[in-house]
Amino acid sequence: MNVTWSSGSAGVATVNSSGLVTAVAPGSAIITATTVDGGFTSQSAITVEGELVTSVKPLYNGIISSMRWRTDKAFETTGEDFTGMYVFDYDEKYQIRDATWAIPDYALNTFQIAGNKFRTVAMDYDPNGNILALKRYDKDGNMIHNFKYHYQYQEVSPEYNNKLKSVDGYVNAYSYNALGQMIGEDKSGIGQYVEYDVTGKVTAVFGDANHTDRKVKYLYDDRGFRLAKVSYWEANRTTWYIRDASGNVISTYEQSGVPSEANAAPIVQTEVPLYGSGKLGTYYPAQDASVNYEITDHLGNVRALLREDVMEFAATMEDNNQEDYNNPRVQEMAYFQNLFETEMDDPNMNHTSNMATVVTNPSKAAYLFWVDGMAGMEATDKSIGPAIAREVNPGDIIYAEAFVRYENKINYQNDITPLLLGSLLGNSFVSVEGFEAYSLAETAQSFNSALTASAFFNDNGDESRPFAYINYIIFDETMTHVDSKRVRVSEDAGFDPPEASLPNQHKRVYFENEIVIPPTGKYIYLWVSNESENTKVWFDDFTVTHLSTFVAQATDFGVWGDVLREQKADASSRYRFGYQGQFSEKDEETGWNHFELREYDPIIGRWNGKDAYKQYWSPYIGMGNNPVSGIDRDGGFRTRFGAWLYKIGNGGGDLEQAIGGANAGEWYVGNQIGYNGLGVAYQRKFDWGNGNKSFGDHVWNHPFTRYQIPDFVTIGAGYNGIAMAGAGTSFEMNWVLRGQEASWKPAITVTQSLGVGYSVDATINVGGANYLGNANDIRRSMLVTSIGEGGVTYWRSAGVALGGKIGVTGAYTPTTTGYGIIGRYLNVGGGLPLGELPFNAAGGVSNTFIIKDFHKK
Amino acid sequence: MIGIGLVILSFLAYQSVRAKRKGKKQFEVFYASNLNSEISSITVSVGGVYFRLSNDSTQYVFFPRTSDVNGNTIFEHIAERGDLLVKKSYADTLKLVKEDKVYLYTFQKIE
Repeated sequence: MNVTWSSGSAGVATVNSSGLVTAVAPGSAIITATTVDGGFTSQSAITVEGELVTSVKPLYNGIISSMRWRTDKAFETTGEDFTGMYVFDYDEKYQIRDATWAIPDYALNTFQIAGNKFRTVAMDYDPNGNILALKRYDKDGNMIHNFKYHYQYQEVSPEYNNKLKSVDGYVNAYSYNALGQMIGEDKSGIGQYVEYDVTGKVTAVFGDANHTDRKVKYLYDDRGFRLAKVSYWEANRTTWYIRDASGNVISTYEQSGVPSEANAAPIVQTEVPLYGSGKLGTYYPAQDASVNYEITDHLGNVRALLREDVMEFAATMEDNNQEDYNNPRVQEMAYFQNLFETEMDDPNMNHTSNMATVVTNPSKAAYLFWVDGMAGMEATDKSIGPAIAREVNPGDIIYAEAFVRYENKINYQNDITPLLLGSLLGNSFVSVEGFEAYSLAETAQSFNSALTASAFFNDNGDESRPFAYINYIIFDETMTHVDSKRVRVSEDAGFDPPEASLPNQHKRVYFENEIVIPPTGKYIYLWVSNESENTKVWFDDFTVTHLSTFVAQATDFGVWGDVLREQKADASSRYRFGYQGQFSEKDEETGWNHFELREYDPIIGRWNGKDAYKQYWSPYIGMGNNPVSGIDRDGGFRTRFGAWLYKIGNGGGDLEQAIGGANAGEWYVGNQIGYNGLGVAYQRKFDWGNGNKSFGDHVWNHPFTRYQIPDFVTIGAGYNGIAMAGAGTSFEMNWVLRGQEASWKPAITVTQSLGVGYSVDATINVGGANYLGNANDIRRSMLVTSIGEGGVTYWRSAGVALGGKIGVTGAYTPTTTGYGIIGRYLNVGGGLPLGELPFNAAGGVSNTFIIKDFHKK
Repeated sequence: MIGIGLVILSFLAYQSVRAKRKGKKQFEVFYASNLNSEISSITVSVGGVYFRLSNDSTQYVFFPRTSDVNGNTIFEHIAERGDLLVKKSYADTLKLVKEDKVYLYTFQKIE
């Protein structure tokens, strides 16, 4: 029988034509066999279990080997919380090579490798650090990017080094200007084309090579900070940035259209960033003063937004009979119950001011008057006034108030039983939030149970004022009573009939303490009521303020800053800060992250412009190819700012860039005080410049110390037989005291010399030599001079010789680094005088060879 | 006497300049080279590490840096005939492949 095989989830398991199933990643998959004849099918469910891992091998060098996180899902979204883990692998230079997703078990502290899910892998680099390849997978383990990076130097000439030519599967062709700034990326006709100003800032981005389809334009202030972004994307819109003296944005304004004298559109303050030691979040003055607080990771990536939302709902009862949203009634109907049912047009009982609504002459209030057995406008259900339901989270805060007047009577009674009140509330709140799946009877029963369980009716003894209240009940998610309370109207809210027209007579009824939602609270129901029969009570401007804090946005980033997944409580919301959002703004118009100096493309992990600080051999590589640990605050040298901060916070010091040693190019502060990161993920090594790692190095390598204690110390013995001309040989033990190859283990050398003059002697030679260049460039091979390689030492000696001899020898060895080696030695031994004169002297050249180096492993 | 001293100093200065020029030229050759072959000969002196490759008669010279990147292993202490050297043009790092183990060496730039 011919059968075809298929897998329902190739990211979990594959099946070949023989039916052999191969696991790919943890998860479940359906394997289906289908007959060729007849199309009959049979299925089998398989589960692939991942490898259980208990630990990640630590690196002990400050480089992050793995990270895991858990972010609550965004409010009112479906799906699960954002939990995840990455395990990282690096190459020899600690450039990221593989970021593998894992599924953590927080209880057991273990994890399972998740196959290719969200994996970024196969990253390779050329020796300059330019990335050569990248593969990226989505949540199902399907490959979404298989990039091969092509560079100009691979085909053209070395002067085009490091510039991209194309990226397979992303950009067909890149183009650069003479300054090395990327000016065009051709994506099959829908590319982006860039213009720069003289300082290297992007001024405009176009959608076509002819620069006619403008996508966005940027304006900068005199300090080079972004002043405005004029977006032509979706709709013309201008964003203005107001900054403090340090360049931090302190306010953002938005305006429809583009900047021009003719543009009369209002400029609205939309965002006010909040700062502590860093950026905390954003305050939205135009959104009921709500705030988004950023939850950031070690890189400053905004992983979640906690929104402190302020929502105010007011039942003004006003209605201008229009259907647009500016009509208060239209807005209030979206939240409140019982508006139509209780409204009454009576200017004397109205509390709403002219300023509170767009209604010219507000005149309405909720009139709660009822008589048992009556129907229509005086029915019992008129005992319940405007009512509102809210879904809440534990810790949310609710404020509620209303303004009330009532017509005085001699005494009052509470004429509503709990059973009746429960029934009336059931009618008011049926099918609203929390009761969507409940019938009317079930809704009423929930309120009945709540009213019975609580001490809700606790003031029956006071008959001096109406039994009229502002009320609330909190339910848990099973609609079981959690908390409830009511506040009764005050005596001074009453008026005698002749006083009905007196102004400003409303009294406020409110909950003195804020209502804090308990841990199990899920829904709150608030309403105003008049439970005294045949009593005239007017409520107006029943206002509920809901302060809630919830996860407004959750975002997971890939290693290069690409967005893996994102949830938003409000799908239409846009938060301008994401990857390294502490320092950069995400420009949706371009897809790039805007840093102070240049633009970063997280899809390919490279900068579009050159590094102003020349940190790496390639000026385009992103975050030193270690984006897990590294940040770039301004798009320039990632530690210079940190060094500057350190300087400011630690009493000053000179900023200095190391020009030698393994850390050449790095910035340092000339004060050796402990350093704790300052937000940089891996620990910095502050030194004293020129590659000196410590204060001890600094002293040891100081020119004064080098003069006193030479770089090379030598003890040896040898003889010369130079009379007019001749030769000599000596053997030395040499200690190299500076540089990366310094060691207490000596190297034994032999020196052969040729000379002219007169020097017939045998001496012990003690002395040393100094390299005139950087101490960190000293190598043990500097002991060797070979005429075969063009190297030679020039020497000259002189001494007092009367059978015994004491003298000195000076030597100089030019090197191809441009810095010579100068030596001086004391010679003590026996020597013949030059005729009658009690001295001898000679000069010549020599070569030295290492016979044995004890430092060699 | 002073004249002789000046002559000697001038001579040494000239030799230094000459050596520097030579070093710069040697470095330019090495820096631009695209290497991927086995070492056929290697010597070392104050002038640097001199080597030839099996597929190339050019003698290359460079100054490898001993550092944490290569476990502080001195290049000339381990590099032998038959070991593989890999470096791309204008790369800052040279790979020494020895018995399947890779050592990375940055090198001093002579400018």
